[in-house]
Amino acid sequence: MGSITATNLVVLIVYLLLMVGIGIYCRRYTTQLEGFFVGFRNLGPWLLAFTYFATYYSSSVMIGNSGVGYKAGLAWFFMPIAQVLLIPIGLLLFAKALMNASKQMGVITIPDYFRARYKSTLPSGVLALIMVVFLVPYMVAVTKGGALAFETLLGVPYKWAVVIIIVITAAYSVVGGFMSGVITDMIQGIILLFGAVTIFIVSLSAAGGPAGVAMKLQAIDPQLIETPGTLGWAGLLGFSFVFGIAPWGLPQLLQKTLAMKSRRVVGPSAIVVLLTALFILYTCNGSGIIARALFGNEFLENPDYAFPVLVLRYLPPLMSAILLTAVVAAVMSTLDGILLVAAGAVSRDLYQQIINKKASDKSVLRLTWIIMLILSVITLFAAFKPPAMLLYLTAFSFSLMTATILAPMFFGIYYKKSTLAGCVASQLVGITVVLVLTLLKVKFLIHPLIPGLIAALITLPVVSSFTKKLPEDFVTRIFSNEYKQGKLTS
Amino acid sequence: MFGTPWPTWLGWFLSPILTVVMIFVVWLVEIRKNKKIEE
Repeated sequence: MGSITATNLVVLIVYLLLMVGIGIYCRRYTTQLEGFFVGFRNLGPWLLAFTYFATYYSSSVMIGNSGVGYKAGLAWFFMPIAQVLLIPIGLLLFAKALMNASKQMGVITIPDYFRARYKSTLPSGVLALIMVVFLVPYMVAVTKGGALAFETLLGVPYKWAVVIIIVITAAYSVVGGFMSGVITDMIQGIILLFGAVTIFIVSLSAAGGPAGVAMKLQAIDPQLIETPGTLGWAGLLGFSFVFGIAPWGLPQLLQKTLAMKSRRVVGPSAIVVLLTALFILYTCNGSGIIARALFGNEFLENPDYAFPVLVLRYLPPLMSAILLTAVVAAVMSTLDGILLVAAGAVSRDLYQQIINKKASDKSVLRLTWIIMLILSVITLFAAFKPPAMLLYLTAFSFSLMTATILAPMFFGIYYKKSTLAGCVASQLVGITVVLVLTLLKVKFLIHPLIPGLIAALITLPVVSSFTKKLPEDFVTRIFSNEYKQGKLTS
Repeated sequence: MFGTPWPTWLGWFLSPILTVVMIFVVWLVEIRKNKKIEE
């Protein structure tokens, strides 16, 4: 569909070189394990907001969301409501507690938080295993989506697109660790927003503004201007809720909050994340809806083409090249965050905390680099020809991680009586409910995540009520005002 | 509005309105509280 032009190539090469340059610049942070995973805990509001935003929204927001908008019509403008409500609430609820655990208990990964809070490597081991098994298929799916968009927009063969995405992301992530991910996310997030807003404005004006879009859609199919339209209220609000609550329990996002420099970062960064989420969702969803008005039923069989075709037909060459870069940026910014937390789950949480407790930080750091490279190679070959089983796993990777993390984290922060047995039981119940409902394809409460979460949230306090309590002095200490104000050290 | 039924045009404005509300909520429960603690 697209083809390689000199402009495309120059913009892309400049972007890729910039990413590698940032990786090299961030080498100074990676001499120690803490620097590699949390960048010496020095994130301010802008960096935190943009890395959170760019890590959550991958190319699927441009391609997938606009594809649904193309099929569903104007009702899809309702979709962002749960995300703009829930994403800032999630930051307010969890960010400070995770930062405190990081600064005062030496926590550097999310499974590490479970180990420190519940004083056992059992819940951290369960979570680390879940992360390793389900984050790799997720990386394959993200790479596949990005490479397909790359192929469509630029005409680069699919396999070359996979190689470029993986090699560059692995290069800057291994060399520059957490901080290279954060700084590249900032740039990638800005490109992503700029691209999405530009195509929305250009296509809206081409379609004759909101009234023009509505008129054209009504002529194609009157259902397209109705809300909830073909999706129904349950579908529309249910999926909005699932994608709004998911960030509360995704390790690649929570990892960022471990690195905040102070409690004052939370408020301003929540506002910036909120605004970026609104802009990206509104414009990407809207672009798909406008594409339907402009193209009619041309892409009904393949709605994922709606966004790339808008770019190719309505933008001049330089802008189209920047938009292409935005899609690649969206993929890389998500991949780098996942690569880091997946490698950390193996090297820190499984190896250093369980298999070899005497392992020095230096040797764990070296192991992390090796694991990152191995995971990158697995993702590369798996993305060449994704096995059906692997892609099937991605269908519930999101839900499984959120169902495993959210309840023990929430109660760990707000419920003094949470016990180790309650935590592990809640994890296992959450995992079981999500797996069973997904594998049996049972439609219950819209999405397997919702019953999985409810079951996990009920299990923890119930099991905690009759199982062995954690040491009194430890619980008193982590619920004290001194601890909450960051005045205690481990 | 724009020739669409009311639930549809409400959908166009709802997420921007909620965003403004949430910015106020974040300011109220987080930013203002932190300033008070520091004072």
